Amino acid sequence: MSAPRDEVFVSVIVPTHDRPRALARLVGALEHGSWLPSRMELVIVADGCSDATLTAMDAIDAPFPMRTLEVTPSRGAAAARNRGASAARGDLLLFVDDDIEPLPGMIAAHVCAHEQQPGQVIMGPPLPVRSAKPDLNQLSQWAWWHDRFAAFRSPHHRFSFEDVFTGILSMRAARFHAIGGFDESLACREDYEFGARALAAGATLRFVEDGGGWHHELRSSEALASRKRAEGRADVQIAVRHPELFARLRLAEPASGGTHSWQRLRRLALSSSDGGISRWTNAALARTLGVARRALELLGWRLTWRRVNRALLDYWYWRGVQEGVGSEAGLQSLETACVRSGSIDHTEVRVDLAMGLRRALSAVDAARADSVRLLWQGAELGRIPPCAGAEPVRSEHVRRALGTNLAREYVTTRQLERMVRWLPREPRPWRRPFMTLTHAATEARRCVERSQRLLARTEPDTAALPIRPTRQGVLRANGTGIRVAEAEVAYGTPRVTLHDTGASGRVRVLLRVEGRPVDWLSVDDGESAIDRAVIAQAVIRRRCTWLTNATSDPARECPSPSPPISVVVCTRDRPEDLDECLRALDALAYPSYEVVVVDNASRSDEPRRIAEHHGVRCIREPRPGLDNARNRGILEAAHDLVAFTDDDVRVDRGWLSAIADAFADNAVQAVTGHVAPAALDTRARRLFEFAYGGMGKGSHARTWEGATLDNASRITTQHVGVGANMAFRRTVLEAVDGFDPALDVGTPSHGAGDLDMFHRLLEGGHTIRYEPRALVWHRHRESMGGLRRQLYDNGRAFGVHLLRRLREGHVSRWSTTRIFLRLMRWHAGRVIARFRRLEPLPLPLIAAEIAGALSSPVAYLRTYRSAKGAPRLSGVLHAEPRGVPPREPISGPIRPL
Amino acid sequence: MPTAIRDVESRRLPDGIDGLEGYERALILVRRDARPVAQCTLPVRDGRLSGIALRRAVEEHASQAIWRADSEAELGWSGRDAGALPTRMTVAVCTRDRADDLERCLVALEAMPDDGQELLVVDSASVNPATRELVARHPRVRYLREDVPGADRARNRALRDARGDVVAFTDDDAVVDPGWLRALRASFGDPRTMCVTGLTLPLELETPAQEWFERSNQFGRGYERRVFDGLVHDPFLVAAAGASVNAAVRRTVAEHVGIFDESLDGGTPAKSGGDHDLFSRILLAGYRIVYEPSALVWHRHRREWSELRNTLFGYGCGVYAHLTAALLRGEPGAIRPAAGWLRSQLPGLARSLLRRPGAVPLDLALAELRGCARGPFALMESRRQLRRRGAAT
Repeated sequence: MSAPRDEVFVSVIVPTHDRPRALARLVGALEHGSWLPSRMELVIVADGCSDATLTAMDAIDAPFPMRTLEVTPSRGAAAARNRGASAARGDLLLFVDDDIEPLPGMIAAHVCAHEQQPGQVIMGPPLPVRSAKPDLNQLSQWAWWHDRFAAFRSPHHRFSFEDVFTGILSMRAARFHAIGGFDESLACREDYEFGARALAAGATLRFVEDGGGWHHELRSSEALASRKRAEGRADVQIAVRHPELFARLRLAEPASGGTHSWQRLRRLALSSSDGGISRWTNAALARTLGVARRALELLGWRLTWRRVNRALLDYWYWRGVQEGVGSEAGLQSLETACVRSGSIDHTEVRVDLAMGLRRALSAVDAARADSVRLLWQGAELGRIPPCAGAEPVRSEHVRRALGTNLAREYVTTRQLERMVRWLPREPRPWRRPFMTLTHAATEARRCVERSQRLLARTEPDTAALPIRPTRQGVLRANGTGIRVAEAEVAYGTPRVTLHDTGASGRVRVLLRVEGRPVDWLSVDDGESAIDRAVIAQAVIRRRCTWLTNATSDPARECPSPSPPISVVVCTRDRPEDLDECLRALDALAYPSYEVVVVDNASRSDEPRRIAEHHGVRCIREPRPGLDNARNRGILEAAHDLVAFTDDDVRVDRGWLSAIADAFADNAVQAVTGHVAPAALDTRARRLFEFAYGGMGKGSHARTWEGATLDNASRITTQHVGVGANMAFRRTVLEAVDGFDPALDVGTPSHGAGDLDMFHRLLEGGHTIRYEPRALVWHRHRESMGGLRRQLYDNGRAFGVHLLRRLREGHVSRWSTTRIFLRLMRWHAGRVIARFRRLEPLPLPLIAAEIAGALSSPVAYLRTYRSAKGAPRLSGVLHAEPRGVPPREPISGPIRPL
Repeated sequence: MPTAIRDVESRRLPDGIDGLEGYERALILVRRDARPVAQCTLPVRDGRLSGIALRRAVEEHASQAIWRADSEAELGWSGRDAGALPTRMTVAVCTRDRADDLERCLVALEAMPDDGQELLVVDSASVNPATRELVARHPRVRYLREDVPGADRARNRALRDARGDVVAFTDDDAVVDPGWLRALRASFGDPRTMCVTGLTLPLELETPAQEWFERSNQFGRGYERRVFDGLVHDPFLVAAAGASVNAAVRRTVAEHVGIFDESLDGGTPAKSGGDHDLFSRILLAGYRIVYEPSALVWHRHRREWSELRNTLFGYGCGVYAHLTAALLRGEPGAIRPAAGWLRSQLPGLARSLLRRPGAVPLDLALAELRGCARGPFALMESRRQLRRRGAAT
């Protein structure tokens, strides 16, 4: 039990050294204080004061008992404070420096705070007083003190030994003696050392705003420099005494850290041992920096001044360290010794936020652990690390961590939580599976670690699951294929669908939330590994922002109408592919759509047969060229929305629903979608997907508004989408006169029909939306030869596209040229990177693309010569009205997704 | 091509916004629990903004901010400095012969929740008695009269006569948000924070002049809280911190930093720059300015093109007058921003000359440049006037 308030007797202990005027000010302020003079005493410890000072001090008169203890010769402030404490009669010790002018309520505030919670060490702010026209040195010290107090004032601050200062410090006498007083061998930083022991003894640090005073006499620059030097020396002593604190001291900063000039400064300061040239250069350096600092202050260049000032103070600090340890080698041996002996056994508590924030935080408060590991459903969110010489973690520290550096992870878990709660598809589905699946999570982790070893990953990231294999890593897994799977994670246990069966090996899973592709996850073998915990971990570690969008999806809240859509599939001599494509189109979960197969001059009659087999219309377009076929498809399409896909594509069941959703906004004239790899079994496919970038455009929806775009974005339409997955309003297709028949596969240009179309739409001020939920699976080229051809075509097609823009001159020619130059630079960079073994794409493939780009002028000439007179959409429309009457759209019950 | 301005609360998104006939675009301010978190501009079709487009825009532009705001509310973490907040606030509006605008301003001020704040109108030498009569109709508002023209003189009067610890300034052509004053007050926790500024959005964007003002001189400084520290930040690059249309300063600024420079700002030949001058002195003295986006003010920009030109001329003039004043005070640090400002102006001027798309119209660019050239002389003239007046009284 603490004594009641007016029973407390306070001993104010003031160590002083030749400053009678400051002392008189302090005594005067104490006289005007609100504390009863009969309940206090003032113990002045005159540390090596001259006789004149002592007589001046004797003249000071005070209404409370005042004693002066003499310590001669001077033994330092720590010894003076200890001496004062041992002579003090009070049960509360209040240490005050002699340059402080206490606030009237200082003593009362300290006594109050001690009564509220006994056993603590209390500090009051010595508020710095600056002169009327402060120089930058004063200003920066003033700001430094204020920032410190601002930090202490915050309830979220984690106090550590470095926060203890003796300017205004109080504790119970018994506590002070139990801790063992100040270490008298330290010339400065005895407060830090005391703080370390106090915290280790279980004391609580507290900051009391009212218990402060005015702090006069900020240090001059010279005094600051010598203070820094003393700090360097003291830090060495602290490291010797408390090896566990070594990592927290400034001298533990690695020699390789910081800027180059900082490293040189540090080396210079540490090497300035035995006279000679090095001492001379050192003196010159210090003087130069000092002069530079003064000049910068005169010039008013504050930011540079700050840098130079810091460099100078750092220099003196390292000089102090050098005096303590001798040299760089001495510092290293100190470090080794500290690391060897200073291992601390810290306690750690694991808190799962899924139990509710309030419960989790009270668990943290109850545990009083040195570090906290924050989890969500068993997946790790982050950690508040142990910190030597700091107080145990409180819930406020967790709040701050979650609000700042773990904010994105925390938001992600909240999103996950809401996602799971929101969806009532399976009644309370996730609770049970979760409990049992934590088991599976460890299993999965083991699997992944095994695969990590197999892939010989070098990063020592032990806790991390390889969410996305490195590009090099995937490509090096040469022999084994990667299987592709998708998992719907929004409901209960993730439902995993494997897309290709084959030998066991790595599986690359496309995570989808309510159909929206969100991210890829790589795991080793088997569905057992892909459970919710693994997925949650993946999501948190990637700090996925997609979830935000996924769970605030407006489409669910206001279901959009399902307008009928025509799907156009252009094909040429690929019957097996067409068969599979049509099978997927059959299974679409959409109420009303029709499929039009355009057979673009196939050599056999196979396409027609297959189309009939699937019950869809097949039109023959005898003019070769994909864009001719597409134009024909537009003509034949019965509905106002026309979606295009290729024959080597398998569409997702929700494809058309997503497209219709995107078109619900009247402004949107065209929609493109995500293209995922259907298989990654061969090297060519993996290279295309991972090294070349594949065809997908990411999991974020985007809108391109032609009216607001700049020239460069209107030309680089390869970012907008690809022809294998796009849809348009019929009206806009007619407005821009359809696809350019001179372009794309089947013409000398070998592509660019889609690029050209997107460009013309944007040029016309139309809006295109990229909707990742509109997903198709594309079979990339299987063989290396096929891949090489495709890259050649890509290079060529983009070149033709650029030439067309240049010729047309609608956008400024300079923009087009600049894009071309950028492209060439990019290619060159790739080649160089390849030779430095940084680029995984083999040289022949890079060369193929460059060759394609170089051949584009010839292709351009040829393609437009050969296409002279080829009819555009309007021409075809007038010449050949639609042949076959449209069939009734397939309509029936909506199949569940 | 006018832009409509609408304010939506993300917890209650409307099913479309009607009544946008005649507008081509809409500037949407998204709030979460009344706190502004993001803004976006959407095209308007047929006088309407569909619910889907609105939701989609909120999803794309504001969802991160909304999640962030929600989780901060749950955590009880605001990122603000802890410490004693000012006990009483004063709102000061300095006005001169703009009774119509002032009326709207006062109505908005009175609509704020009553935390005991003081409302003050400083009438800066109005010729017309309408201002006095208007304030008489608003019993909660105190009226002060300053006979010598000059916005800074009026502000100094407000600083002197205010009863609150903090004086929040706004203009007579602005409309404050109900949560404005509370948001400003909450940021004064740290004693080193001498000034807090807030987000300013356009009240209307009906004319090309207003559109250009918004584009060329964006008052809105984003939705992230920022701290300008006198020891870290260049004290002469204060335009990013805000302006006096939405700023609050501690009354103790007078003793620690000094008062507004009366030779600057509206009503003097220097035309503007008084607020930036005080901001830079606050930073020079080592204090902090906090930009707090949840303190929102709507400002009605000048409608006429000629007014806009005059305003930009005034800005150029004020910037250089303020930099000259700093140089005369013995702050050589002002040389660099003076040169830098010019360097950033000239390429823009070249673009205007070449009539590049998106460039500032030539007359505006020239007006600003002329203002810059006029600045130092305007300061001299203003000081001369001040001296003459001092001698006369």
